[in-house]
Amino acid sequence: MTEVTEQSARQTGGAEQAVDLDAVDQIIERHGRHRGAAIPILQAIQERFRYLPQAALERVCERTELQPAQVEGIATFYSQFRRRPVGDHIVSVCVGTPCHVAGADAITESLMRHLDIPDNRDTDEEGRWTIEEVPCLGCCSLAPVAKIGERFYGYLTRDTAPRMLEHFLQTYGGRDADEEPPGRPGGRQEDGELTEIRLGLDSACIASGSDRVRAVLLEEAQRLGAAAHVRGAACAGMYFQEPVVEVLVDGHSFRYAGVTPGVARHLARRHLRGRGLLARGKAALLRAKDLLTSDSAWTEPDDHTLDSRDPATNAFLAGQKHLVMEGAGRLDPDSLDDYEAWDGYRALREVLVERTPEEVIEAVKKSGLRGRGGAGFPTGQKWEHVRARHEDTKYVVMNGDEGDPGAFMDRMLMESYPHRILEGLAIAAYAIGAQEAHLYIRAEYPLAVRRIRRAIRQAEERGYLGKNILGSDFSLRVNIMQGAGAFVCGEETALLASLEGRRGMPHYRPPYPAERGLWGKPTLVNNVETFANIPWILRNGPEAFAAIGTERSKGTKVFALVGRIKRGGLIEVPMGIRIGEIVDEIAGGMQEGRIFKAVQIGGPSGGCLPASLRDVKIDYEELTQHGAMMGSGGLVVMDKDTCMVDIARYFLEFTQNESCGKCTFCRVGTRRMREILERLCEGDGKPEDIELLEQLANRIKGTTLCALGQSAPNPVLTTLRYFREEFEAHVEGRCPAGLCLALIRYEVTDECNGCTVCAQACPADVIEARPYEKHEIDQDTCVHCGSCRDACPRDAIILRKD
Amino acid sequence: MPFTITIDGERLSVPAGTTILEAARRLGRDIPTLCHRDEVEPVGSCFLCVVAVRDRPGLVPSCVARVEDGMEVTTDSPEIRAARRMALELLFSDHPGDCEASCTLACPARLDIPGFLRHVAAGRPEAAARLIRRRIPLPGALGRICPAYCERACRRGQRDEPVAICAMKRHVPDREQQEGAAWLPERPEPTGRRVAIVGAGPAGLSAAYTLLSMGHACALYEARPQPGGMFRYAVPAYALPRDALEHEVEVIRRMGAEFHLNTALGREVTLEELRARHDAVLLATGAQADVPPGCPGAQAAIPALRFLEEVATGRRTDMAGGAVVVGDGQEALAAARSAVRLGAQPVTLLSGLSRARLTRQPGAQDAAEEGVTFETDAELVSLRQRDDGAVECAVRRPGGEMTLVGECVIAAGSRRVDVRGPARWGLEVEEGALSVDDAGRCRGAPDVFAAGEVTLGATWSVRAVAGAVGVAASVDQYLRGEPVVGERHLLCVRMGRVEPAVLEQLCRGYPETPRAEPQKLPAESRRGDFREVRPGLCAEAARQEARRCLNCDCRARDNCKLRIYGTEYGADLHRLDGESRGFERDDRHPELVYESGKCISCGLCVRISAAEDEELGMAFRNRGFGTRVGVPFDRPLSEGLTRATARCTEACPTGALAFKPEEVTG
Repeated sequence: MTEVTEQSARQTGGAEQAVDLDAVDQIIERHGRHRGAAIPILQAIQERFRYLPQAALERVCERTELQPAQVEGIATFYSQFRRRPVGDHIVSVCVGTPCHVAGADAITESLMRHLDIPDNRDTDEEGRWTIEEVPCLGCCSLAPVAKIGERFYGYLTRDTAPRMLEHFLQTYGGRDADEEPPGRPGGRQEDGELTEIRLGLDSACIASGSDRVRAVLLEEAQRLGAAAHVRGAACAGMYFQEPVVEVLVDGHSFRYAGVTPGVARHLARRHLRGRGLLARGKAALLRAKDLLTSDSAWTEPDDHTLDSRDPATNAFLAGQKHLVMEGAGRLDPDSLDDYEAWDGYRALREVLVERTPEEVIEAVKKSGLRGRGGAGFPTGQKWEHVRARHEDTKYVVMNGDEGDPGAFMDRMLMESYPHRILEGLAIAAYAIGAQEAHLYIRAEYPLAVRRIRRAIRQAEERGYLGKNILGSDFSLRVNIMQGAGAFVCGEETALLASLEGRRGMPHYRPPYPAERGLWGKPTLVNNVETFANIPWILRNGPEAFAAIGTERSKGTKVFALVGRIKRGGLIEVPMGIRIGEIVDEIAGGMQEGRIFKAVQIGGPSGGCLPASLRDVKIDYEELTQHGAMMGSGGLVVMDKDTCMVDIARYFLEFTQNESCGKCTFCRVGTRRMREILERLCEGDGKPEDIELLEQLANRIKGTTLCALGQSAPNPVLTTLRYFREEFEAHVEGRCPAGLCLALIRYEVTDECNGCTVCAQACPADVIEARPYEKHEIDQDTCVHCGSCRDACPRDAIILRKD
Repeated sequence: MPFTITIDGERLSVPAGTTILEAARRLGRDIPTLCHRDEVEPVGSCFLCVVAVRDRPGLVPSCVARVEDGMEVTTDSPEIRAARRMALELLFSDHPGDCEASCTLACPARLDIPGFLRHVAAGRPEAAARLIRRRIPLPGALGRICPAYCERACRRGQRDEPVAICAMKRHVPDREQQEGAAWLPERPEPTGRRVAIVGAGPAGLSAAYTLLSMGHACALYEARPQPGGMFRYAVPAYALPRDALEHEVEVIRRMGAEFHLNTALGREVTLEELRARHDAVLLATGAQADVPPGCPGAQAAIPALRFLEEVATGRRTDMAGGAVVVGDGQEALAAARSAVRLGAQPVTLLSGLSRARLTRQPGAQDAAEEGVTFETDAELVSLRQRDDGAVECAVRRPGGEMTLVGECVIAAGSRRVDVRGPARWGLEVEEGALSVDDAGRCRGAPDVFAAGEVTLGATWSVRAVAGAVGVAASVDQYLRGEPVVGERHLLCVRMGRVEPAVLEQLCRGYPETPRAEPQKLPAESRRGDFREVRPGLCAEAARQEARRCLNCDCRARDNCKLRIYGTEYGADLHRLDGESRGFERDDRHPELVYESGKCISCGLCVRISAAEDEELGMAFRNRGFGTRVGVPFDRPLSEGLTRATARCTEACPTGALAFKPEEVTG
C-alpha cells in the first residue's frame, strides 16, 4: 500500500492524514484519464477521504491528462469540494427561502454556540461535527430543516436544534444513511389475498418520516404473517399532510394522512390479514389487546383518515391538472411494470415506429411547450435548431441542477417519475439525432440519482434505452453526472463546461449550445420538467396540450408552493391560473393569524408580487410584465411578518454567493448591492443608498454575461417597485415587519410581575433576574432572539418596531 | 458569405464569425478593453467593451459578440459611457494599491521619488537628474530648504525612519556640480516660439527650464542684479550656498536661457513691449512686499527682507550689540541666525507663538543651538528709537510686561504680493494676489500667464516651483495652438496609511537599516560664518540610502489600462466603495512582481500560461467575489511562470503582474 503522510497547510485542525495513493489510482482506473472525468474523479476522492487531500490531487495530475491549473480551478470552484478534513458528521442546515423565513439563522447560530465553534471555522474542536449551510434541502413544509447525512429533522427551533445531535447519535447509531431498502417482502400470494400499501418515499416524504412508517408497516406485516406489499408511490405533492398512506384491500382504498409510526402500527393491525389460522388468531388477539389497553388505539387511525370527500385534499387537488404528475400517489417509481401500466413508453414506441424526427418536432412545436427551467424558450424550436445542424455527433443534456432555494419540483419528478423523464429524453434524442445523453443531476439529490440510475438499468433491460431501442436503428446511451455544488451550473453553458471538467463559468451566447455545445457539438439542453411533458404530448396529441393554458403559455407548470399557508407542497396547475386561486383555494389561504402580503415567484431570478396583484395569471409574459418571472417553479407565499428588504437581501446574498465571478457587473456589482441591503437591514442605511441600489440594479440587469447576473437584481427591483416604503422606513431606522433584528427591540411592559421566567429563558443572560420586580432587557447586549417573549406567561414582553 | 453591418451609422462588410470589436477596429473605432488580447480567445470578463446593438436588450460585450447580417451597432452614447464608467468604478472598488507612491502624492510638485531613487541606487545620477528636473528644476535649492512633506508620507517611516528624500534630491545636483557637468535633458527641435519670463526667482527659473526642455526659447527679465530671487536674497548662504545656487542657474543658462538683469517690468520694459516681442509672457514676480508691524514706532524696525538682502549682497557685514527679531516665520529665523553670524549679541526672537509651536518650525532648533533666545507668547506693543540709536521694544506677555533693547530691531511680518504692480499692468487682482484661471492664464489676456507666489501668495518655495512647472505646460499648449487646460494627471488609487499586515508585505526583502544622517556643523563653529550647516551625502551613502526606498509606486503606473481608461471616463474612485480584497505583494519571482490586489480576474495570464504549456501556470481559485488568481497548489510564482513570464506580464492590463525594475534586486 502506497501511503503518503500529509499535513495540509490549509487545515486549521492540523491533523495529519495518511493518504492511500493506491485508492486514488483505482479511482482513476474507474473514471478514466481524460479531462472530462475531472469532476467525477474528485467526487470519488472526496467520498473516499471525506475531503480532497493535496497528495491525492497531485497524484491525479501525475497520472491523468488533468492539469494542476484545472484541478485547482475546479477543486475551489464547486461548493461540494473540501480541502480540509471534515468532522465525523456533517450537519447541513437548510437556508432555503422558506427555512430562512422560518428562522434558519437561529438554528445555525444555536448549533455553533452549542458546539463552541468560533465564527471563522465550521468544525468543532474534537472533529466530530461540521456545520454547514446549504441552499435548499427541498423539505420546505417542514421548515426550518436540517439534515445529518440523510437523516432529516424538521420544525427545528433554537432549543431543539442541539438536541438533534444527540438524537442522531442515539437513534441511528451515528449512521448517516441506511443501506438500500431491501426488496419487497411478502411477495405475491397466489391466494390473491394481497394487501397493498402505498406511501410516498421521496426525499420530502422521507423527511416527514415516511421511511420510518414504512419500516413499521413491514415489521407489523412480518409479525402478523400478512401478505402485504408495501411499496413506494409517486409523490402526490401534499406535503402539508405527509406521510400519506394508502391501503388497498379487497378492492377498497383507505387513505390516511399525517401518519406517524404509532399510527402506522395501528393501521397495520387494522388492515393486514395474517396467512393461516394461527396468524389470524394471533392478529385478533393483538387487536383485542389494543382495544383493552387503550382508548386511543381505535380513534387514532380514524383521525387520520382521508375521506375521498375530504375538503382539504379536494381543495388542494381540485385546481390542479396532472400531466407530468400523472399517476401521483399510485405509480411506484421503482416499478417499470407500473409505468408501463400507466401507458409508459407507449409514446416512444409509437414515435419510433410511426413518426419521423421532423414529425416529432412538428408535434412539439404545435403543442406550444416552452422550456420549464425558467427561460421559457419554445421547446420545439430549440429541437429544430439542433436537428438542423449537420453533424454526426450530437448530445442531449438534461438539466437537473435545480438550485433555486425553496424549489424541489425537479427533484420530485426525478424521484417519482424517472421513467417518464427518460422516455421524454429518448424521444428528444431521436428527434434531434443524438446517440448520447447526459443527465446532470444536482449533488444534493442522491435519492434522485439512485432512482434514475435504477430506472436506466430497468429501461435498458427492457430495450427502451441502449442499443437499437425496441428493435429500431435508434440507439441511446445515457450517462449520469452529478453536479458538485454550483447554482450557476443551472445556466446551460456553465453546465456544459462542468460536464467538460471545467469551472462552471458561462460564456456569451451566441453561439448557443444548439450550434456549439458539449465538446463543441450541437447539444440540446432541456430541463427535467420539459422532458417529463413530452410523453403526454405525444400520447394525447399536441392539440390537447395546447388546449390547456393561455394563448402563449400552454400546458401546466409544477410549482413548489411554500410559505405560511395552510396547505403547502408540490402542485401542477394549468397555465393561466390566477395567483389568487393558488393562494386562496389550493393553499387554503394563510395560516391562522397570518395576513397575505406578497408572493415570490421564480426564486432568486424572480420577483415579489404584492397581494394586490392576486389576479395576475401564471403566464410567462404576464409575469414578466409585472416584474416577476416564471422561473423554475418556486412560489413562496409571504405574510405581514416578512420584511421585503430582508427578502431582497436574502436573495441577493444567495445569488452573490453563487456568482461565478467572471464578469465585472455580476462579480462586484451584486456584491455592492448586497452590502447596501445589509446596511439597510442593520439600520446603517443612508438616503442615497436607495438611489444607488436602483442604479446598480438597473445597470447590472442589462450588462452581464449570463442569466444569473441578469436576473439577480429582479428581487430588488420588484421589492423596490411594490414595497418602496419599506426601504424608506429602513433608512429611517424602522422595520415595519418587525423582523430586522437591528431595528427592533423587545421591551418589558408594566404587566411584568417579576416571575423571572424570562431571565431564565434568555440564552444570552441579558435579563437580570429580579424576583417581584419589573424586569429589564439590556438593549446593548440583547441578541433579539425573542425567547423571552415566547416564555413570558403574562405576555408582558412586546416587540417594538420603532 | 460576408455580413453587412452598420457601426455608428457607417456600413461595412465583414466575414461571418467576426466579433463586433474586430469589425469596429476596421473602421478605426477603438473600443476600450481590459480583458481582451488579440492572440488569446476573448471571454467577456471586464465588460468595458460594451456597445449597444439594435433589438438586443441591455448592452453587449463587443469582444465576444459576433456580428450578424444587418446588425446595427452603436459604440458610443451617454448610456454606454455611463456603463463603462460604472464597470471601471466597480473594478476600482476592489483594487487596493498605490498608483503613485504616497511620497509623490504628498509632494506639491508630484516628483517621481521612487523613480529617481532607483536611478541613484543603480549609480545613474544623470538619469536621476533629468527625472527630478522634470518636476523640480531646482533640486539643489529645494533639496536643502524644502519642509519635505514627502518624508512625512514616506511608508518607510511607518516601519523605521523615512528615506532621506530631500538629502537624496540635493545629492544629485551636488554630484553634477562636483563633476563640473550639466546633465541636460534631450530636447526636441526648436519650436521657434519665444517666451518672456518676468522674474528670475524660483518660479521664473523653473518655468524657464521646463519651457526650454519643450523646445521653446526663453528670455528672463529680472529686476535685481542677479538671478535667484528669494533663493539668493532671502535664503542665507548657510542654508543654500552661493555656489550651489550658481550651479542651478548655470544649468538653466546652458539650456539656452537669455538673462536680462537689472530690468524691471514697468521700469525698464513694459508689458506691452514684452507681449509684442514674444509669443507669450509668464509673470513670476513673487511676493516680496514686507508688511510692517502695526504698532506705534514701527519705522524704527528694519524689514526682514531688506535686512536679508543687505546680508546677501554684502552690504551688511557685521553687527554690534544686540538684535531683536520680531516674528516667527522662516524670514524671522533667517534674520536671527544671520544676525548671530554677523556678530550680534544677544539675539532675541520675539514671537506670539507658544514655545512648543515655535520650536517645531524648521530651523528653530538650529537657531536655538546657535544661541538665539526665544521670547514666546509675546506681543510687541510699541517701538521707540532711543537717542543712543538703540531701539526699545515694549512687549506684553502673559506674565506681565517687559522691555527688550537691541541695536537693531528687525521686523519679519508676513510677506505679501505687491499688488500695485499687477494693477499698473492692467491685470486683475483677487484676494491679494494676481488672478489667474485654473490653467494659470491671466484673465482677459490670452497670451499672459502667471505662476509662483505672485498668484499663490507667500508660500513654501516648493509650491511656487511646482506651480511654475504646471503653468509652463499651459504656455506650451498655448504655443502649440492646443486647448489650454494646464497639466492633466492620471487618477490615483491610493491606500493611505497602511495596516501592519500591508506594511509587512511592502517591507519584505528590505532589511532594517538606519536612515543616513549627515553630520551637522557643530553649533559653536556655526556662529562665526555662513558655511553650509548641513552637508550632503557622499556617493556611497546616497546609494545605500536610495536602497531603503520600498518602491511603493505601482510598476505599471504609466501603462495601466485601468488607470488610463479610468481617467478618460472620469471614474469616481470611491463612489462604489465596499469590502475589498487585501493588498498583497509577492516579489519572489526573479523577473516579476505579483500584486494580487490589483488583479481584475480577466484570466489572460491563466489562458496564456495554459497555451504555453506551463507545467503549473496560473489558475483561478474560488468563485464569485472571492475569485483569485494564483499558482496551483500554493507553489511559488517562480515555479508557476517560467516560459510564459514575459507574455503574461505584458498582457496583464493592470499592475498585478509587472516586471521588476532592474534596479530592485531579489
